Amino acid sequence: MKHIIKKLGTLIITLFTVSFLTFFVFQIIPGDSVVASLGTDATKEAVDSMREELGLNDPFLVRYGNWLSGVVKGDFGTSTKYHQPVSTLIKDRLPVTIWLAVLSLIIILLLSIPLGILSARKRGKLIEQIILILTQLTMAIPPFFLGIILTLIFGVVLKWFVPGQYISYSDNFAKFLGFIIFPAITIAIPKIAMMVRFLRSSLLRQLNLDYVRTAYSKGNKEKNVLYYHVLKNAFIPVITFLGMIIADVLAGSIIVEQVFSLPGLGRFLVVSISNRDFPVVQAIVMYIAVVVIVINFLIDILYQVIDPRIRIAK
Amino acid sequence: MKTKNINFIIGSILVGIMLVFVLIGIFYTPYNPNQMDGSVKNMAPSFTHFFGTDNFGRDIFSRCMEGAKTTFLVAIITVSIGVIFGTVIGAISGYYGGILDEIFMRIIDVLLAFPSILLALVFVSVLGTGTFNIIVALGILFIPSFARVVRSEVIAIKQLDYVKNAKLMGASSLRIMFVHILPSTFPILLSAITIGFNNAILAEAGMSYLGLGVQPPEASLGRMLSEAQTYIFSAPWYAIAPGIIIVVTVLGFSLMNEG
Repeated sequence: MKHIIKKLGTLIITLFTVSFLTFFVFQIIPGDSVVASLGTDATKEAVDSMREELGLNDPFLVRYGNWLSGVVKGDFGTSTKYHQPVSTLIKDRLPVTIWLAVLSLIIILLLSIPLGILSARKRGKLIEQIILILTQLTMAIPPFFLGIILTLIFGVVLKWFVPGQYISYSDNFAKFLGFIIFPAITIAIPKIAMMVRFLRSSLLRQLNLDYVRTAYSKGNKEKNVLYYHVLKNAFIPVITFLGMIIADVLAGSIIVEQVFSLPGLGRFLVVSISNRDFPVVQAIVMYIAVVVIVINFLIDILYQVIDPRIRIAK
Repeated sequence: MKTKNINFIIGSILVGIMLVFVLIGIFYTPYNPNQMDGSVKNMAPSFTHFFGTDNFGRDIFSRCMEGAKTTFLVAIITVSIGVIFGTVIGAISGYYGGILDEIFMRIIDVLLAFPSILLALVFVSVLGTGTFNIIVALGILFIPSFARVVRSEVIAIKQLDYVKNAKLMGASSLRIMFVHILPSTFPILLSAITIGFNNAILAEAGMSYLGLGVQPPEASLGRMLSEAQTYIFSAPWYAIAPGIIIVVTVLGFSLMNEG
């Protein structure tokens, strides 16, 4: 309990620092978002009045305070490009990214766990070698190239989907899933490779321990030892790794949404950077960073709940 | 042990091929990589154009050479920035400890809390696009991980007897740090550099792919991939060549690192 409170303290400090950095970084940017949105030929009065209206003339800490109290209430300010509240713009795009992330996580878990177990069980056999080579290869393919290859195979050659023709989740949910399954696979494939390798080495480490020998000497078959004794222990480090994977999936969606022209949060971030629409950039950066930090915190807590040894050690 | 050797050999061969490809590209390309030729638009690979031509009739093989050169150069400089600053920060942090260490590590913790692509995007939106800015952005991005590696190594080595001995013999802190400690961190640092180099190549290609890195008409592997995507129906080979070059390089380095 004491440890959880300490972790909670660290979490709050980290969130504060992240919010401060995110705010601070966009204050030192050369170039003026007001001029950018009004155009370079705007009169000085128009620029000044807009600056006043947006509160850009207040001292730095006041602006940070205002921004942060807005953020806590879910108000990220107004987009300088679209002249709409940032929160509304994000709300439209968030479901795409969430579905994409959830779908890729499901694919990752469904494939990596059986493959990881398989490669550990068949150690020294051909099938293990094949899995190792495949994982090594897929980890070297950058996500955007993988996306292009999948588009080429499933979109151009097999015609299972029309490249670039996104179907909104509100129009036809089944077709929407049919489209985002390909970007989801793109995100998933390298992560599956990482998971398989991690799970395999975690299993192999456990298989060398004394309790496994004891389990065998009590007359257990390999299947029993693996599923009732080893797996439970081997999964513990995998849970931490899963936290990293979730963060990676979110980050991966930034690029993959671009490859498949998905109107999600990641693509919006990239477009907004090109537009120099900083309230939007700030908001999305905060959003992703907070989600990643909170997930890692939850996993840290979960870790201690399932493994009493860690609690005692602390 | 045996598979490790095989990995290392295959990795070295792949990296060697890429290095030769890039080195030749510095002095000689079959065609001018930026020269457009309307008569040979979107041609499939042939003996005159090994990887075919793009939508402007530019030779993809020459552009790949040019692009790989840019990507390698960006990767080498960014990793160097990361290694130099990371080593200094990590060494100071690990050797002296105390409040300075605490501050450095807190900052690094926060920086590492962001997914790296997100951090790169933040830096680029602050600095702007272009080759120079992407180098600075990615360079800063790589400092924390190197600082961490060096710091933990320095802390471990600091407690070894030979370092204590040197201290007893009256060596100065600087001498101990540079002559006695840092050389011992080298093997671990070397492995971090290989991984860092791969990450730098992927990051540069990724940022250029998003249109936020190297700007046209300059060739970059990521940039070429994003251009190629528009012509995926009419010229699918355009995307394959730069993609495979990235894969071969990254695969080569990671195999070498494992061996």
